[in-house]
Amino acid sequence: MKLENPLGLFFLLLLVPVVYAALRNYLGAKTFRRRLAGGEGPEDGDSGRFFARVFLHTVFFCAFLVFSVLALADISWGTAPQTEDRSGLEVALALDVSRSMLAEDSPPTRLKTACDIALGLIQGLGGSRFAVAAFKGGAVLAVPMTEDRETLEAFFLDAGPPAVNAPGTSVESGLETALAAFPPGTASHRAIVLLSDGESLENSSGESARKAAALGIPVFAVGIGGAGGSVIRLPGGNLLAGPGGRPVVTRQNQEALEAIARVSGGEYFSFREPGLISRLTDRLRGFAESHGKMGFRLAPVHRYRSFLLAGFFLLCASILARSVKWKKK
Amino acid sequence: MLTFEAPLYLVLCFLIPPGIWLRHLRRGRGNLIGFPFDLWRQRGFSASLRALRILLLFCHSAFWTGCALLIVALAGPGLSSRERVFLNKGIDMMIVLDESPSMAAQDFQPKDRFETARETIRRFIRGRENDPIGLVGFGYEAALHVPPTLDYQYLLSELDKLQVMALGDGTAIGMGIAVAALHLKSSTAPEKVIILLTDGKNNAGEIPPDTAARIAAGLGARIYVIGIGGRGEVPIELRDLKSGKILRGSIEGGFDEEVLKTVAEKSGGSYFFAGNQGTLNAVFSAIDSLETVERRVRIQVTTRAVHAWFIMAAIILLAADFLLRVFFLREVP
Repeated sequence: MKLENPLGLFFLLLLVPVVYAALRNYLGAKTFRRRLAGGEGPEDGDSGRFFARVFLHTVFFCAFLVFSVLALADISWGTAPQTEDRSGLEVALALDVSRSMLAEDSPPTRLKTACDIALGLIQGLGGSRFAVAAFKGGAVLAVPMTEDRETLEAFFLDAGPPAVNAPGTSVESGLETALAAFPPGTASHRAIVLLSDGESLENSSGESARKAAALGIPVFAVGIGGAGGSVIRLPGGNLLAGPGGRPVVTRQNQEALEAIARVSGGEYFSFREPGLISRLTDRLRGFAESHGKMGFRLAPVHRYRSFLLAGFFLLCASILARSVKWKKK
Repeated sequence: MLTFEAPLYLVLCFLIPPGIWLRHLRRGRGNLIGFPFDLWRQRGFSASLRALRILLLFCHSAFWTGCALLIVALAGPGLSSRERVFLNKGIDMMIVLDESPSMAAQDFQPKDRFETARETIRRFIRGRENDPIGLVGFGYEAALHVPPTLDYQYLLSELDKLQVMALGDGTAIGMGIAVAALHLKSSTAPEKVIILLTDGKNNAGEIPPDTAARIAAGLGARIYVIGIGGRGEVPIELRDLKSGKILRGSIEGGFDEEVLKTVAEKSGGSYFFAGNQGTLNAVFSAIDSLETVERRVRIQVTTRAVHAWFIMAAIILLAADFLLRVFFLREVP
């Protein structure tokens, strides 16, 4: 079971004012009824019916809210075949070129390790097309989607922080640019390979991961760098210092990368895994083959309609509980 | 375009008018309670009912709009778009454009040769579909600007950035062809084509044009050569990229037609002469019609589900109706 839009669950907070208001009004109305009856409580039967009406109306309305919010959260479980007539593979490589990638905890540097992984993928996936989105605080499409190995290799042999001007790190920008790198009108399977230490100083990348999932483009995140932290050696040999003059320490944000991979329907890989390039190559090739075989692919089944339908009937029940006259026997 | 996954649910909308009648218009829909004025300390009703009526009207509208939105959400609304998807590979093309200073010659009025060539290439790119197109420039040296790609938007933006003399003062035709051939090496396309536009004689670079043509032919690429510009003395005006100064003068036009014809013949392509803008357009149209492959196309409809927005709006409206009635109108069932 998976929630496609978990943020929708925040609407459950509406239950608090709804229950509070209903309770407050019930107690107020009870007092008012007593005043109308000249200071004494109305007959037992009337009180019971009044309580039942308020109770059922409120409970049905709250249940409607719960079911509607679950529908909004878009619960999905199970898979169903969907026709798909695709062949070939297009991969957008989102390469982090921020200064934290100059850390030396994955020798020689994180950036060089990332470039080697990218080059391995390009060699391993012959016949596929690749694009490169380089990102720091912003992102640029460094190489458009192409089959040309020479251009791709030339880029990765020379990639560095100067490829992008904007300072900082925004994984979101990198993913957005990678998503825009797929030209329209091709029948290829599409995937993004994110090569980063996951340290993002800008906005969250959850939105692009969700967008990628909606477009059927999984993000395979390769985490580079250690969790223990490392200083950043600049090209001149000096250490990158923070505002207080102390060296900046950078560490891989594995959770962020795992979250991106999970939300988009991809997978997380650590640069330390033995045989990483062949595993990643097999995974990408497997993704393309499993999604194209027999002319269909298995897609998650969204169940929001069942919850919404239940919510709709509960809303009707709530109105009926309020509107129907409850007559004495 | 708004489409519905299960439009049958929209039938539930027919429940709304009877619902409105039952709840708001039916006779005997409510109860009357008689009570003495002394409950209000014998002052009667002093408050205006106008605000109350407006609030009630808002509550009713919010409730029924919310119901309608719930029904629409049940029907599974989505925004659909159609896309032509090509199921086979097109032709890999490399456009090799002369960026030497002579391309600023003003015999293609009202623009110079370079601007006219750029405009024609732009139109040519916009007319192609499913053919990866790359861009190589050459002057004293040659450089790849864009590898063969289907990302025409990127290609056009890079084409717009080209400048005369950015690659030095010279005409390395052979190097231009060789760079284009190099970047077609890993192509798996069924057909490969190089389109060379030049107005001069090869006078730079280590690779002569005929050798480059042989390399390209060895990779299975045809070369269409377009010699552009008039013959004789032509006025020229260009900006020196280093100093920023405008340079004016005149040059003796002309290109080595024999060499260009040899390049085209060796690779199985053709040679064209374009002396003015009209001819240049016609040449590109001819290449456009010559270079076609069978295209298998499928229309793919992509639908983006938008039910979440309808559900969210419905929840907000229905909760607002409930809370306003209870908090402000003090309504009890």
